Amino acid sequence: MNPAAGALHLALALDLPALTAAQRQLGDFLAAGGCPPEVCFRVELVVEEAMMNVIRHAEPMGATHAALNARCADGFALVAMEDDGPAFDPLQAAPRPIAGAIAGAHDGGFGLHLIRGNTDAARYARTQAGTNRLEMEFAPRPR
Amino acid sequence: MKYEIQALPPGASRIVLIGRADAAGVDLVETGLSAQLRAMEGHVVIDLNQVPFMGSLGIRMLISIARLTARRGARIAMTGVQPQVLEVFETMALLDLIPHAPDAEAAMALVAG
Repeated sequence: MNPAAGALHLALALDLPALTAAQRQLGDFLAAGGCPPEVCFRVELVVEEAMMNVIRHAEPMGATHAALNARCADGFALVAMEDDGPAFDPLQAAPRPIAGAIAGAHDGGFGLHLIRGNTDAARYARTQAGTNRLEMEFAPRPR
Repeated sequence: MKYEIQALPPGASRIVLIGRADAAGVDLVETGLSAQLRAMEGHVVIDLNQVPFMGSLGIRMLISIARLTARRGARIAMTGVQPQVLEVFETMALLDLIPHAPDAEAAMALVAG
């Protein structure tokens, strides 16, 4: 990916209005950078799932902010998200199967499925600064 | 996001969801829609033709609608799912729980059995 193609950096408060604003900025940035709509869709989806995990689970445990960096070129997107919550690797946590949900077995926990199913590569690291860092790649998919 | 509930003959309802079913959108409609569903009778067709985006909270809301419908012995189906939203549903195997039909008439046939 050509780093000169542009980059977006957003500092995020941990609430829904901040997430909504970030999704809008991110979508505009990716579309202007030439990412196809299906890549923009998957990036917005995964960012929502990752941020909602932070808002719902990390913020009550002391997380105060998050950051998002995005680059795009040639239809590919590279997104890095960071938060200062307790260590949590969304790529290792066990997703909940949807079967049985109507019977009331559970009522959520689907976001991890969506993160894994909509990224083309992903890496998690706990940084030396004590933050969670999730790097994700999105490649155009044949339709 | 907003929704409309329309009567479908005989004894069925169509819930038309309108707008992005992202976290903020679902937060706007979920409580009111659940309250109305508890007072409804008959089968339900969910029209997603005007929903260009749906995340896990939207899926959770659909499952909640399906659960409320199943508890009163009625059936549910979806129609008008946009291609990218359909891919999300396939990732989640949601269509195993809530069947999808390409148009409202076919969805009505599904719920009518």
